Amino acid sequence: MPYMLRPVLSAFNEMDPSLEEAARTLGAGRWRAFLTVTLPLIGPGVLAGLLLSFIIGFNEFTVIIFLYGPKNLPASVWLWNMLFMYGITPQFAAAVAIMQLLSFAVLFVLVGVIGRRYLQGVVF
Amino acid sequence: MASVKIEGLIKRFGKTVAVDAVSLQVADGALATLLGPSGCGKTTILRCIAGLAEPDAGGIYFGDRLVNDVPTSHRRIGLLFQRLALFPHMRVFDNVAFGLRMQKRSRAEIDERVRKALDLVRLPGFEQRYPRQLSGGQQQRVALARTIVTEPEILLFDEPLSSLDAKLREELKTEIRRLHLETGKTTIYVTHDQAEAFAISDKVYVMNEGRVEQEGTPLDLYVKPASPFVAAFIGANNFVPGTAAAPDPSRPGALLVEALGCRIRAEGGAGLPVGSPLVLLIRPEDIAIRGGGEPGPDEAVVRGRITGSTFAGAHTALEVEAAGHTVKVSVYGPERFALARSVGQEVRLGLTRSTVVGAGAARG
Repeated sequence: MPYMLRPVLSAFNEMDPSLEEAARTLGAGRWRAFLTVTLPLIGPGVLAGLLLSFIIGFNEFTVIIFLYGPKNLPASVWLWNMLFMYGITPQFAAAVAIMQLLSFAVLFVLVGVIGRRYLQGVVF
Repeated sequence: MASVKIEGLIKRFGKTVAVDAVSLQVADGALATLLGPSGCGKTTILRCIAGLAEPDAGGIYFGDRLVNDVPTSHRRIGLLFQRLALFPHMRVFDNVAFGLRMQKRSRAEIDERVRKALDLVRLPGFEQRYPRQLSGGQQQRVALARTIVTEPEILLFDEPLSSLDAKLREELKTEIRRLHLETGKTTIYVTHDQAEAFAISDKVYVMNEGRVEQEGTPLDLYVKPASPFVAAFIGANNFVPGTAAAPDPSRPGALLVEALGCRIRAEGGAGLPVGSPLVLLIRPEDIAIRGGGEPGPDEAVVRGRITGSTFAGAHTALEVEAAGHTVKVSVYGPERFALARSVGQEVRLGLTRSTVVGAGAARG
């Protein structure tokens, strides 16, 4: 959670509160003003938070291995168990590769969205 | 169309009272200015009118309708912010169209009205730019277009020109006055700039520490300031101590005042007993540098010595030591060139008008 909170909070702090007020004087209710003005502007902060949380969650193998239960088995732990049960098999190698690609894909999508939608269009 | 009326408005922030029982009334279609130093509560009043701040007491009426509980989005107002508050993630078109989209207008109507609004502020063809790609003055115009495009009943301006340089300010001042005359909307304008207030207003409220010190037309405030604060806030001034000397024989009810070692005609101060001390306001532009010869019938002449002189183009600002006081004098005529470097020179000052702005001892 703190990894999410920090970027979002700083994004909030950097935003001029009169932007949301301007939206309200133009006829937007509080909720509409938040959706159309505030959210897009703190968007980069939210995405950065998501990205951080994702990276950290993905890396927390040691913690996970102590905490997991039979009902919610993380992919990484399942793979770890497979390794011990069957040794290095082609299927195992493929699964590891897919996990790597998956994490890269998430990263690329998020960076792509932040970069294209926000970094060039917005002045902070 | 609607008039705006405020009755007994009080707003506190913690222990400080930002607005202290202010009442005012702006007629339908008039342009009124709240003028005062920063922190005098003028912006807070504007925010209360807009519904962005909640008053602790008092009523706000648009026409006959009490609007205290109406949310900002339903007050049909347009507010031009000091920091403009253009949406940085939207193009100019979307910024201006925002209010119309909130009103769920048709696409064709939005296109048409945004185009008209941008024409009105003289920015056609800028629809696809982002705000950061515009100059300060252009951003100002976009903000203005966004404010007026929804045709609000009441326009509110919160020091919209304070971030601009002097030349742009001059230009946009005229623009705002022109827009007001063209649209005829009730407008309330907040500023700390006296010249700005005078240039655009029908009526000015001078504010100090959360209260209205004086209300009136620019001419009223200049000619008959009700307190030293108002006088000091409007234009440059000399405050000199004086005593009521005698009733003026040529103008019933008016006074002659003994000050700077002579008798000067004064406005105001009616009813002060002869011999009572008072504070006299003499505007630097009301003092003439005169040659020799007899004084005119209503003129008092004081001898002095120039101790400071600044040439400012349209006028020369002098400081003259006279009768133990330093008096500021602004010279606008052709003699301003000769006086541009005149420190040490002996002069004669011609005084024809002054205003009593307070009874009691001088405040310096």
